[in-house]
Amino acid sequence: MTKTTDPIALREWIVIGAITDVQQGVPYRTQVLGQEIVCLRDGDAFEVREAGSDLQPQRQVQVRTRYGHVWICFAEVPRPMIEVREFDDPRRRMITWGGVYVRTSPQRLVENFLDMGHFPFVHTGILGAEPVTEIRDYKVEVRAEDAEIRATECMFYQPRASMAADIGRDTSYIYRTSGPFVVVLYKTAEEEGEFDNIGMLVQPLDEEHCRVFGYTLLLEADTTDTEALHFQQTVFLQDRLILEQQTPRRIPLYEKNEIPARADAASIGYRRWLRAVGMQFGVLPQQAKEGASQ
Amino acid sequence: MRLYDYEISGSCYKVRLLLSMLNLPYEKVAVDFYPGRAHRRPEFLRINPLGQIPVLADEEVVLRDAQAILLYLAARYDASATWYPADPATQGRIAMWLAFAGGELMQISAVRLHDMLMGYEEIDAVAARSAACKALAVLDQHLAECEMRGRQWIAAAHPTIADIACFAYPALCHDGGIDRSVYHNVNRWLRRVRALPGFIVMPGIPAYA
Amino acid sequence: MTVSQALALSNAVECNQVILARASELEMALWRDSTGALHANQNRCPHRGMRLHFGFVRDDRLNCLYHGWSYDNQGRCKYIPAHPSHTPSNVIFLQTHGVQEAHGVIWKGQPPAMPERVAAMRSTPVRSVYVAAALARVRDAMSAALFSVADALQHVGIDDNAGCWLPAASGTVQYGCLYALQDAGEGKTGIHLAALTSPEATASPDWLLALSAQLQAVQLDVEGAAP
Repeated sequence: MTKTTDPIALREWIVIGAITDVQQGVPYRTQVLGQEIVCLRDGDAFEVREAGSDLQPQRQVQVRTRYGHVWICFAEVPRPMIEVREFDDPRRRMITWGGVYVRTSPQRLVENFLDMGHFPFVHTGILGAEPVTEIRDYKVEVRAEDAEIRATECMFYQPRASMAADIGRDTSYIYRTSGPFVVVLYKTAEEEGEFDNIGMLVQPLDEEHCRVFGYTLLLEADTTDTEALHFQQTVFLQDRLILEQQTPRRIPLYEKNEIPARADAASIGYRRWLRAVGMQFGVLPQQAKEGASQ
Repeated sequence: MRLYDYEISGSCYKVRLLLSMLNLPYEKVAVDFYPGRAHRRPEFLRINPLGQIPVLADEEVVLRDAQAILLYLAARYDASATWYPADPATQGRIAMWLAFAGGELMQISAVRLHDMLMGYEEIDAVAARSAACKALAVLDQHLAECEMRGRQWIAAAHPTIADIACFAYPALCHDGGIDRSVYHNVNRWLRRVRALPGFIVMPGIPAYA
Repeated sequence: MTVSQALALSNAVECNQVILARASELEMALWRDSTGALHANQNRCPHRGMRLHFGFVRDDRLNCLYHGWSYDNQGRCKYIPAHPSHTPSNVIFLQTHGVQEAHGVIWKGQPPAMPERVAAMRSTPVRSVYVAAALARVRDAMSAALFSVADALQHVGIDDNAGCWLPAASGTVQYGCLYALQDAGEGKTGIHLAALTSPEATASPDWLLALSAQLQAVQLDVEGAAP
């Protein structure tokens, strides 16, 4: 396993775990972008080094904590991390999801998170239900300078939008990707005028294996942390079945064998951005035949 | 009736499934199994010293082990007496397959935990997957032979708690990287269970099939 | 001359069901509509690459589990739930594969030409097993080791991937079995076994169980007795 050379991947702050996953004095080993790393914690100080083939620690790597998680960056100059101001809202409490392994590329994960068309079929009775399957047009903006795809004015009727929801309602969504591995979602909360804030943070182990972390910034007072956590885990585990059965695992940016619909505007924007920046990690290289003939 | 439950647990699902088919009301107590590991903390160990879910608390009856809970629920609440019939031979067969559901089939649970969650990296997934496939092959052969004798269910001519107990992990096997497309009899039987009134899904088991 | 390619026994796929079938490294979604008619398509939805054997059959169409894209028995996409009033473009389609059912077995393409004796008999599915062994090895085992001389059955080859065991032609008793082999990819061979009886007779449970036991014995033999 060798570390990727893709600068678009290397410049990102990448999550490696929840802060609570890394225990005092216990080497925390994992893999990022094909590179083995080891993280050591001493109080609130974290140190991360690349590990060689003998697993001995070598080059030190930038590390920081934010949004309840530990992040690293291999590049000298990281691309700035997304600002999620809702974390400063004292009314909100943070739930972290716990890492979940998924056998696919980070891009497949992001696209699934951006997608609403699957709600009635994959999150049946929760985020969607037949016969209300239509996705009305929504707006997509590619903000290249922030490496952000922003999808707004997304609307979907949901039987049970959150743990606190007793009845179905129209739910409004805003999505923001930040680089290739992070997506933040704002959705209408039970409380009038408020938005729930949910973030998916992908740790790419290698091009076809990821570990997914996330957070929910909870406003509802009546939902326990565990109930909110289980709601989120339920939704994500339902997606995992799909994600592990998509072929090819890496995203076929240069093949002609994946046909989008209008409802896929957000993922079309994301793929357009991936091509524009020349992303290679997690992308099926041009001319490859894998998966094309199925 | 209170069920100490985790949405993502296949073992808890066995109980939720029978509760639904028996149409029994109950209160779910969500246990933060992951990442919180609440099932290993003192408050929960007082309820079950083995530190496992599910646990059912029905007035003075407190039971751990999904198979035991299925037996109790059927014996106490099934007016039709079909989920756990009184016939000794059937009870013997049910016990045999409950043991299989809590034993050999749990290899699927092991590889599923290893493949999905953090903290299970020490599990030998290759060995677990291989053992799981052997168990699925045994179930497949049994179901084939049942069909040859004109029976469509694991322990009797009608569904019993043996079918409920054995359903969960074969239905969830994709989570653990196991492809069950070669076990045709298992797949046919899974479909029969899905068609039973009161059937519910859990994450990893699609609503559509 | 092409060799037959068995995919499954007939009872492996019911009405309104889709299953995975493999022909070597090719994956197919094999499905029956409400009338029982068999269809086979590429196993990958052209939308986002989802495996179609996880989908569902409804209204005589194969529907993808991910977004419910709906394909008819010609492989044409007829409905996209996210855009209910829109007619999907005809560039959205699934490759179709010809499949046929004969003598209790589902074949890719043509079934093999059956000896008259076999064609005249009634076929009852026994079981399919998949062994971790090359097809050639399995073929040897099925044509030599399935029954002993004492069973009074003789092997009759049908083609390289199919054969049957029948009593000597002079007997009045009509029973036997038919097997068909499948290259199931990844070094695995599928053995599909059906019981043969005279048309007015039903295969007794004892005969079916005996055949199942024979198949089990071949599997153990071919894979080695390793636990």
